[in-house]
Amino acid sequence: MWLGASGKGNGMTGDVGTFRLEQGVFPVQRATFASATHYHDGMLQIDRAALLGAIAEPRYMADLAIHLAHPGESCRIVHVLDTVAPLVKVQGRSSAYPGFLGPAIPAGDGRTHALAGFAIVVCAHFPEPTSGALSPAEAIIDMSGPAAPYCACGDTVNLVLVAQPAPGITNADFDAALHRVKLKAATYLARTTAALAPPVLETYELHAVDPALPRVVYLDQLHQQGLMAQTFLYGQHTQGLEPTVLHPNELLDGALVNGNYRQPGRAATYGHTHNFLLRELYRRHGHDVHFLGVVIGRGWQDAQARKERQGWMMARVARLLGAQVALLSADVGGTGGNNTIDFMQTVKACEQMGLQTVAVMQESGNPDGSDPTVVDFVPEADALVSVGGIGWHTPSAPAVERVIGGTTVRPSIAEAPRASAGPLDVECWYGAIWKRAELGLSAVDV
Amino acid sequence: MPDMVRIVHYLNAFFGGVGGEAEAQTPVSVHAGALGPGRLLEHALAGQGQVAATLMCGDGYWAEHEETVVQQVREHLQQLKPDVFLAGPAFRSGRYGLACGRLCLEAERLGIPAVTGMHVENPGSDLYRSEHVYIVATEASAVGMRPALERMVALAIKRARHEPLGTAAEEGFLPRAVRRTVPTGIPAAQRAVDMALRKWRGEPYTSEIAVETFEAVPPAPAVSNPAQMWLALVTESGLVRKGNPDRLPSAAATHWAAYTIAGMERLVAGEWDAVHGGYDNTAALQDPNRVVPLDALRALEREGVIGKLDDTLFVTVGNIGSLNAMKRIGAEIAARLVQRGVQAVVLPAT
Amino acid sequence: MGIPTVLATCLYTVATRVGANRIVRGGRFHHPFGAPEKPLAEEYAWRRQFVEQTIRALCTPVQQPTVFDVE
Repeated sequence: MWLGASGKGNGMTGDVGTFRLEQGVFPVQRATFASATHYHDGMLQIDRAALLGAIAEPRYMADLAIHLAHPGESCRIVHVLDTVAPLVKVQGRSSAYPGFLGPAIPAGDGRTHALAGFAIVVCAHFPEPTSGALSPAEAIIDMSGPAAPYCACGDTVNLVLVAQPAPGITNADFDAALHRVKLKAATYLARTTAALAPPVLETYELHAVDPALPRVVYLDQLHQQGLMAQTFLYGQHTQGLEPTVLHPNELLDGALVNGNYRQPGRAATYGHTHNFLLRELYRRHGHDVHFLGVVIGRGWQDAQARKERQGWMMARVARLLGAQVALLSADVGGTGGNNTIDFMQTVKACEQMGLQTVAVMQESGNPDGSDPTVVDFVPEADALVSVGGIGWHTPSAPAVERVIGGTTVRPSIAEAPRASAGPLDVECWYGAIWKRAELGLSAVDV
Repeated sequence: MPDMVRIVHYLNAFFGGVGGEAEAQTPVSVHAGALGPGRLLEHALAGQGQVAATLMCGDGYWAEHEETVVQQVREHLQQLKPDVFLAGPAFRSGRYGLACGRLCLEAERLGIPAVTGMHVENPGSDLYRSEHVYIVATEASAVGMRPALERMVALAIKRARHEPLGTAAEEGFLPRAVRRTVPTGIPAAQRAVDMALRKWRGEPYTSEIAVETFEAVPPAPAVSNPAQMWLALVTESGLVRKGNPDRLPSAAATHWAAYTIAGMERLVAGEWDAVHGGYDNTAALQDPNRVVPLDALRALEREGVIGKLDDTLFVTVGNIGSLNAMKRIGAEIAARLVQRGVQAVVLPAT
Repeated sequence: MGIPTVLATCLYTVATRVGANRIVRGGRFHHPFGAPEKPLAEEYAWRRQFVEQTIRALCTPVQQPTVFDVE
């Protein structure tokens, strides 16, 4: 089975299902609020009132504040829930973030324009109390200072949306509104480039390659437990997801949207459109690998038997695709907790079905490094890449001049709240795990 | 010119030159200077240090009198005050490896840096690596004596002088359950694909994470008569009184709480919260007995199937718990249970 | 310490690996003693049976990590 063969549909020939994507990349160095919304040569001007008018949902949000933050500023963003890359589809039947911003027509073809070096950041507090697993955890981005390199989106120009829920609204309704608002903002701003010629135009397709190259599949285990801890595929959460084949272009176009706020370190919509393993495999497609595609599945199955089943269900799809090698990650690099079991069961099943696996994992434990660092293990997991996290202390952050998102933070429920603007010695930096993956951190025995 | 490193060396009686039947019965003795392989050790020191004394004990004697030997060695070390303690190398000799590991651990507890050496499959290796002892990897037999001593000496000098150490791989010691996050300069994705290609081609590669093994816990004897049993409930599910008065965290807990369940026939929804951040607590909040089955246990208590249910529910949060913290919490709760005369425990886990 | 302890969990592979000697397995990990899909009376009957199995595990001699199944 080969993904991405040229489609020959009836009627609208070639505009859906070709899985050949052109992505026009428009870099943003600076953004300002102005009287009109306009992109030119790295500068993005935003009419704040018009943007608000286009995206606001007053039925669900009593207030939606819009701020800008630039790398290098003494600025801190707190209560971060998600970050989103600005994308708009300018040619093709589907849309960016399909299933939310348009019908769930297969994405990953036609042409999409993207603003690079720019992110939409969403911050909010939920109206109803939460506890246990289905609770958002504090997540913070510093735009400068010693902790900034270890935060995702500490190095992008950020449009920050701070949302207040309307009175009487449920968490579920508020969450749904947050997804709509962030994605509308992402597309609204990307649309400034719709009529422009991209300075950089990249083409993504899985062209035919030397048959001697190893056939590699990327197994992406998604976070799905329930409200506050979920991932959306084409606009629908993945609670009942069985392993599903995706063309990598579908991820590039935003088929996966993040609704997981549990652990500050992992997962983000931005992380799905910029998936580090996917981009590496694409880069090497035709050189030393034959990238077959992506298989997504959900982790956090809630019984041992289901975790074992999950492993087999992922492995069988990989095998049926003809894969010889499987690369695995969970929560964009963030294994931990009992989803490690689902992950390990997938490694085991793949190996037992004859696939060579390499799995990317993060490690957790004591700051002094003295603990077993992964929750579960199978003997078949003999090729692991670590993104570190053990024996690690993010440099503490100094006080900042400006805070967006809230005046107090609470790094954990066991601690008292403290001033957001003050010095912070914490480990709740946003996106820290996949940031460590990109930075090339690992862990060693000492 | 740095100070001479003062070393005390531990050897078993066999390597100390006492052989045969006598070896097993040889108690702890102390000798001035180096003995047996200790002389090679001094040679490897190349003037940077000196073996001030050698402690020797038969492996058989060790096996029968471990605590006595430990006590005596501790006393000797406290008197001799070395800069560093060296034991072995023990190669594959099991009792010798266990002795070396234990004595190094004891030296560390006295504040004396310690280094031993043995083959990775020596039983002392697994047991004492997880206690963070520095164990140099050696060959299986004394054929590897010289390189083993050289690596042990190099590591011992650094530790004696409190110099920074390289990684386990660089210094030649076995992973000892301590890891550190380090930069590699190469993004994880690239390392992952590179590793996959090496694995696929059958070329050698090194996994960045290896599994840690857990020591076996000897099972406690079964309860003989449940109708007389005093049973306690201990849970890691984070089920706390509403309002979380003891402020248990949702993850990485370092303490525990005790709540009275005296006079309660069941746990009542609304009086409890479940703060463990690793599971969906909807079902638990609707009916906390789904996590801590007080209702069923009270029924069994009333019917005389079990003797008595302790008045206290012991609670911590197991989510992303540091192993060392959980070991301590378990030991503290266990001590409390023993004090109360509890005879058995049911431990609901989420 | 010598106090027989039975661990009630569904994640028995983790439990056996860390050396828990008596493990009863059942339910889902959100609610080891719960079966909320059943009507309340049936759920209680199931819970009671599970607890009885837990007590039986405490009364059973074991040599090594042992998983006692309920269902």
